[in-house]
Amino acid sequence: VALEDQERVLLRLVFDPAFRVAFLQDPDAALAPLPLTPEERRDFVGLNRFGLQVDARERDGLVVGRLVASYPLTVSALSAFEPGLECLRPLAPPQLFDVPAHQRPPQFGMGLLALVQEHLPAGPEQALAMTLGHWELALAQAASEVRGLALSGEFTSAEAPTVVEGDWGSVALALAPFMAVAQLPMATAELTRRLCPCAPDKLYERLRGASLPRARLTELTRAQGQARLVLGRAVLREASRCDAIVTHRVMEVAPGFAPLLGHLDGTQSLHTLMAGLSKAGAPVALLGGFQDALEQLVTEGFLTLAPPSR
Amino acid sequence: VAKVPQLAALPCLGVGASLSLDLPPDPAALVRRVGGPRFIEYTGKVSFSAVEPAVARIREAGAAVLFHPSYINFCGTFPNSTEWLAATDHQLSATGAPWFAQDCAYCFWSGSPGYSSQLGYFLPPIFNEASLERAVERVREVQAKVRVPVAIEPPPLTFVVGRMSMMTFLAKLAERADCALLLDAGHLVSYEMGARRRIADELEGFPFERVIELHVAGGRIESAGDEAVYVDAHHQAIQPAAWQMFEWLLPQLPGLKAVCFECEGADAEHVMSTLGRVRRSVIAKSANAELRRLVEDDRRGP
Repeated sequence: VALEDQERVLLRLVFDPAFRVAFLQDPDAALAPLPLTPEERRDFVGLNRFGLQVDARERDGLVVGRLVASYPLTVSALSAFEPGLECLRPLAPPQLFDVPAHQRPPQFGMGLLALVQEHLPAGPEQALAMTLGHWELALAQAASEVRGLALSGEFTSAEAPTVVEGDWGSVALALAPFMAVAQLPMATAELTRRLCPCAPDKLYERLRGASLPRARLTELTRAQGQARLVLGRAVLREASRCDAIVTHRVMEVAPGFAPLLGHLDGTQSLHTLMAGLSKAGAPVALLGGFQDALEQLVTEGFLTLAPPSR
Repeated sequence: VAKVPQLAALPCLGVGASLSLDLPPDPAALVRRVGGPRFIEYTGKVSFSAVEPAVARIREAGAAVLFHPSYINFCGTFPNSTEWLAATDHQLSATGAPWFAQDCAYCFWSGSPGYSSQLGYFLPPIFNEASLERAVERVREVQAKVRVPVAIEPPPLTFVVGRMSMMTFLAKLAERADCALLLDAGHLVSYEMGARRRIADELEGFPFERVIELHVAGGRIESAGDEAVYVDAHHQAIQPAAWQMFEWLLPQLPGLKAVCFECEGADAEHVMSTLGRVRRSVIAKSANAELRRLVEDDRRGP
């Protein structure tokens, strides 16, 4: 008996909805094209079909529910449209379990974005849901990258505190690695309050029972004057060669800061940036605000300090 | 019992509880109560650092600790990571656990180690000879890396793949890998319902003397028309069928060292009252005189 082939069938039975439906209708026909001997097929044909359905339903709630926890805003938005969150089920196919666990949330997120495009009508609601989706996907990708490096031993220590000493105004600034940046219509805490009815780990179960009213999303598309530029950084909290705990640190600044981000590429210092803004005619009050924000970004570890290149 | 002397020499732990270390009720506080658990079993991550303070508090309160994770593949073709096994051995050593038990199931898939929660929960093995051979390999792989005896537990299930009976699979696995067994009353009920078979019909040659730990826990029955299956759910009430299975097993387990009420998510008073009932059953029915004496002493209190 080739156990590997039987294992693959077992995984498909619980995680491949289309294959399971075909099997439940006609086990022999569903198994016939697969590389199993008659003896190996007999191990499957008599199984408890009701029990299989219960198992698959329970597993779906737990596996998809766990992945949904990385995308609370996007999933809440998606739930407001037909066919609701039932469309998420195919995003945990058997192939998902062939990739390392830390790569699964980004893979799920890419599928989720495709579903947002497919199920939300083109317009402001879809645009907002895509913005939320890209933001949460970028966070998941940053976390996945940090986790992957930690597990491979290339990134072994938890985050070192950022030490800002002396005059760093002439030191070149660059965005820290493992970052996500997005412009959102309002602060993330407020978005969460308006869109997510419960904690992320309970969201899938809750929204399958009662989806988000579409009006909540529509309201957000009309919000004005509350936009925030949001920066998220994946931070390694604990690591070993077996496991890595990664969290996100989030900081929000005024959207006017966005053009400045393009200049934080390791070639310019606080002093040269301020001089450039001053030369462009920026008012003194604005310059003060930018300087405060840059200092805070450095202190919080969102910007790295590099010696100026000669 | 004489067939497996290394198991007979294991300490008798009495009646304990399986609890979450980061949710109420506080395990150490329960241990300090009259009639509280004599040992605490916890599930946890491969890294010990996060639970180290909680484990220390339990041991200071006077209870033994058992580690029952959900990340070891005790079956299937995907081998366990040597690094994860080394970390497990470290955790077992740090907790002072006298043995190491976990469900015989898939916890991770392919070459990437992980937790059963990533598959939803344990994915049961295929019950046939080829799968049994790999399960023996997996158990030996773990035995080679951990310094305490390994005990295998049948997983909860709602359907069965394979035509070998589960009890035959377990019996052969225990004999060939020379390991101990842990039986869970609810999991056995789940097998009876999911496989539509009776445990009592599958016990010929079953090595009861290898069973060192017995679990009882909450669950629920899912039904539709004539169909019904048992779903493991520790926060729910213990089903009458699980109590029945539990009390039927007790007189058949001469080497039983520990009886655990798995009750993560239950409130403290429910834990205490159920431990009382478990103790009464053990005193009335256990085949192990040492275990009965220990539990009687606990019931009397200081």
